[in-house]
Amino acid sequence: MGSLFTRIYINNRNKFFYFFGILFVIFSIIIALFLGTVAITVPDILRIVTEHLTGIPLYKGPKSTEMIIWEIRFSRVVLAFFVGAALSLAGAAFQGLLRNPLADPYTIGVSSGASLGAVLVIFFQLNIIWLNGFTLPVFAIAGGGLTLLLVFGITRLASSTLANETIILAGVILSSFTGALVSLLMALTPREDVRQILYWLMGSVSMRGWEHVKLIIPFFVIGAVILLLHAKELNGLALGDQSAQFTGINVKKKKRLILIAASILTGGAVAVSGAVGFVGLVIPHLVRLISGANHKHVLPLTLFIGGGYLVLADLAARTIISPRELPIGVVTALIGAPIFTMLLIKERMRRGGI
Amino acid sequence: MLHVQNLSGGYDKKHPAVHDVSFQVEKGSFFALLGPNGSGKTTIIRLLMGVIPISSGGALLDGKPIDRYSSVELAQKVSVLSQENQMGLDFTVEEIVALGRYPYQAKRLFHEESETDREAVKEAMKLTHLDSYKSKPFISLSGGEKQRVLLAKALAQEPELIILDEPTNHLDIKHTLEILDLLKKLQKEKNLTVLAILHDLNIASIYADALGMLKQGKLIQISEGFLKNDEELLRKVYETDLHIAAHPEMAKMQVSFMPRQQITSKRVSTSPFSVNEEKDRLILQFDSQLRTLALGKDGDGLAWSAGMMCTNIISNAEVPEHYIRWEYPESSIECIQEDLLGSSCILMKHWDGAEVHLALFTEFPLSDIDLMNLSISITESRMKLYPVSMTGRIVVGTDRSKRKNKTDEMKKVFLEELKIWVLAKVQNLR
Repeated sequence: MGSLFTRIYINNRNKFFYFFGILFVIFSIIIALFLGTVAITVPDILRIVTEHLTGIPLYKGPKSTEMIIWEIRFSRVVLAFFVGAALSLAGAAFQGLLRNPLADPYTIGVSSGASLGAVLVIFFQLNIIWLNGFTLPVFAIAGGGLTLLLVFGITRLASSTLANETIILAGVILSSFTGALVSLLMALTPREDVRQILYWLMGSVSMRGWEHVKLIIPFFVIGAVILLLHAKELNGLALGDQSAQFTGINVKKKKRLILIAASILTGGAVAVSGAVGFVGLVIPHLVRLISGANHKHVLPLTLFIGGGYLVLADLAARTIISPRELPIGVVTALIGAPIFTMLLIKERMRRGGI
Repeated sequence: MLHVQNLSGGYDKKHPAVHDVSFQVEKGSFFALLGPNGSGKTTIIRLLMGVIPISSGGALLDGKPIDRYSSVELAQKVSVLSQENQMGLDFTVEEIVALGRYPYQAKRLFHEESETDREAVKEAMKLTHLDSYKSKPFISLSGGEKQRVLLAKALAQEPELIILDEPTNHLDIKHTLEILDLLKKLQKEKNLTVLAILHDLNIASIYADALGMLKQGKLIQISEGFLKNDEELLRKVYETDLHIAAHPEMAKMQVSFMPRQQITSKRVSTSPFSVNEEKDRLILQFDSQLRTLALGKDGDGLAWSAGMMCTNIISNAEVPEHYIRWEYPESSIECIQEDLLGSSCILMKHWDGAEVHLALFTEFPLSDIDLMNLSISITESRMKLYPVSMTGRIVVGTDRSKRKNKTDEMKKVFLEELKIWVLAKVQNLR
């Protein structure tokens, strides 16, 4: 009887995980919508959201409530979801590709490059009119893209085979260099403006709106689709580059493609929200603890769990010391670290210390 | 199937690790690449599989240059079980074996698994006896089990040619034979072609249909198996003293290695033999173990012996291990010891009226063939001196531990002297 149950559980385990993952996303989005500084009744919230999603006029209350729910709160929740999903997915891809459990979306320097782009905009008070208020994200994305090109360039010159160690080293070098440039700019910034840069660097999804959601969506879709289509390659690469080559994977081409896709996700996320830490490092590990290492399941599950997690983290960031807000990166780590540690210990104990 | 032509290449372009190597692996055959560490075996595989660029020459796989194949096409024909396998992530056995199906899934839009894929994975796991390991984590397996999983992955690729880089490294003899037996079975049943780098010359000799010997990046010999004449070549390649002899049960040759450090006897004595007479027995003790050939009733044939004990059947004395047993009354044994061309020799005879038993031991190093010939010449001597119908046991022995440089010339002279001496002494002792 017990073994039958176990078999059913194993056969349907992944379906169960997907079900749980999607449920987690829906649950976190609903909670995040309901809670906030301004109390709004549940039916009103449901009416506003359905009205905007379906176009059927249902809500007849004051315009300001509608503004708060749809323009401020819902856009913020959706943005948090995309940023969390993008960073987690990119983290899972980087860890799998580089076969390094310490890799995260920031390892290869794309985020530092994006930060430099953003800090340049703040420092020089740039505002390019035809960019329509998107000067900062556009510069951030350009900075990230430029860094990725440099990483490829350095790796190419140093090794003909795109070796992982070289990629990581090139990434670390560029991170340090761009990080130093950011520090330099901060040192030269007048004191009252430093706070603005600092806040941007810590990451936040507040006061962004639908425009930023629209900005991240194309990056998210392109990056996520490419990565999800490369689950098999990521599995193959886990055995080592040479072994992957022997199983028919065009290692150089696929590696480059996966790096580009993960960087697109990272760049997009950093451009709209700044460098939110911890999510990209830990969510993939968390998912692997539950689902095993197969990227076919790891990738979609990190997308859901990462997105939902950041929605909740943002909720905590804006409610804990309301009406003031905590930086979201602080919250992700403060809550995430103990949870992750607990799960890690529990899982290792279950498996008898392997 | 695979025609390698003047292949050269390596990491260092000025000094290629592989130089001008040519060989052919026929479809359905088992080709073993042999050679000491650093002789370029693994480099050949990397060159073939396009991991490092070929500097000159090339290889044809089914008539098409191997570097013209795309990675996916190549992986559908050839699978490789390499030595380097990293596994940082926590995959299950089945997931790893399923990785072998990549070349068949790559062209599909979502890389989805088909029924054929599932069948191939199942089949590969059945062949390697991994059915019960399906959902076990790979990292929890032992070395032998891991190797079997990786072999299953290579087989799931359904290759026509399988390339193995030291597939039995770190495996005990049971697992080694298990893996090679499986490959042999697939070679027979599915016409699988095998190209394997093997370290163990004896294993290679048993399993391979052709052997390629590499030395410093050059292929110096291709043969169907070792011959007695290959001793010199192998000694040069491996810089080790070794001997080639027939497998006791198979029509294959086996290689035996000699330690460079001579294992010598602890006792130091001038004579290699010592004779002790006790109340009811005569014990002939050898300084170090002698290579002996015992023929006739109760004869053990070729063996290594520490001595010979002559005792009465009734005495019921315990014969020590590695001793030749001669159950004759010690009083009737005649014994003579003499130096012949500087080598000590001892002859023992027992004549009980019905049979003449003779034993001859010499310090001079002789081969097994020499021992056999010597026993014939002793029989002939006996036939000259006794009625032709006279039977009896013959024991001969030689000391190989002191391998003084004896040339063939010296041996010939010594054997002639020995025969004359034996004939004379057998007569005298009569």
